[in-house]
Amino acid sequence: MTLDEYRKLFVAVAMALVLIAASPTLGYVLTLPGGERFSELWVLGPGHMAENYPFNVEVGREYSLFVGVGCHMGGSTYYAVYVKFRNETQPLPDISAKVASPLPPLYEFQVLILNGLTWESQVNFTILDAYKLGNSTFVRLLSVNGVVFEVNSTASWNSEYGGFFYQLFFELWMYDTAVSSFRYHDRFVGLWLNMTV
Amino acid sequence: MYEGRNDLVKSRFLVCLIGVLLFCLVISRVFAVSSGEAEAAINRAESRMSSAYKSVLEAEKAGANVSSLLLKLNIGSTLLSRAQMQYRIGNFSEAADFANQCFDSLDGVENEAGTLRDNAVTERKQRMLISAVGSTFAIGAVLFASIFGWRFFKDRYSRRVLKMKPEVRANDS
Repeated sequence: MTLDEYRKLFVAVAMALVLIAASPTLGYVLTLPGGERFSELWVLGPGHMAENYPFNVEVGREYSLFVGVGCHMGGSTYYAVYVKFRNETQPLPDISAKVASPLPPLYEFQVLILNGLTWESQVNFTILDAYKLGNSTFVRLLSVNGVVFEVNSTASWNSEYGGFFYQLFFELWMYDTAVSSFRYHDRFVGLWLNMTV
Repeated sequence: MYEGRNDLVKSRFLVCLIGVLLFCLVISRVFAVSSGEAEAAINRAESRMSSAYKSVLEAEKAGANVSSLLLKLNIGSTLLSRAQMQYRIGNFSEAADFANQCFDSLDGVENEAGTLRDNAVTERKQRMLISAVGSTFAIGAVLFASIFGWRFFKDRYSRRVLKMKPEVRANDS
């Protein structure tokens, strides 16, 4: 090696050592970009597994589910989970427009989650009042976690799949501090129910 | 005689019954909560929840540990969601009650978050100062060692080169 090559090596090693020495202070000054920010929303069956979801439901019987939210937003986040009920013709959230379903929420959860943590809660629901009207069913009352809601929803017979189908779905909303209200966080999960009257 | 006494008892009973019914009616009117009152209580609770959440976020950004405050906020948020559900199904008195409970449960959260934030900012400044001083000394030491090390190495290298003897090779051509 020539003297010039040794000089370059010395400078490189000295610069590396300077960077190591400065790193504790640089950590306070520089803000490195974090990882991808996202939230999770899931629904599990009564056994806390992705199986045995209630499907054929009858009046007066209680069914159980678990709804969960995971926070990876880089900080504590204030979420709302709205439980909604619809028949096949009523609108779901619009995925492309990122707009929530216009149906009114029934039950709701509000929860604050630290970054990297998850939250889970049991959801018990019962169809309290439903009856058959010719070729359709009418669900009048639905209880979610003991709170009774008037849903007044009619489902016609679905000849393709053979049933009167309703959907219990969960929308995830997130608190926006800029507007001081919740906004739809573009995530929902749904559960199809076949009403057997 | 007995019939007259029975009539008197019956009429007294009826008067008492009507009195009790009127009392219940008046009491229910007095304590009934209108939708406007429930809405006002919910708005008040929402406003406190919002400002408490914002102050907790500020404390968290400053580097404070806000897990204890989040527990309090979660109690408030649960009560607020119950208030909103009760309002939607028309139970205004329960809605107002839950909203007032939410409002009370968040009492002092903002101040606590402010204290935590201030402490975190002070601690951060102190740690930054310590690390800046440490880094300055460390960088100085590295530069000093590098310059003197290079000079020492250069001198040794030059001496070694000067001590080298020229290699003599036979001219093959």
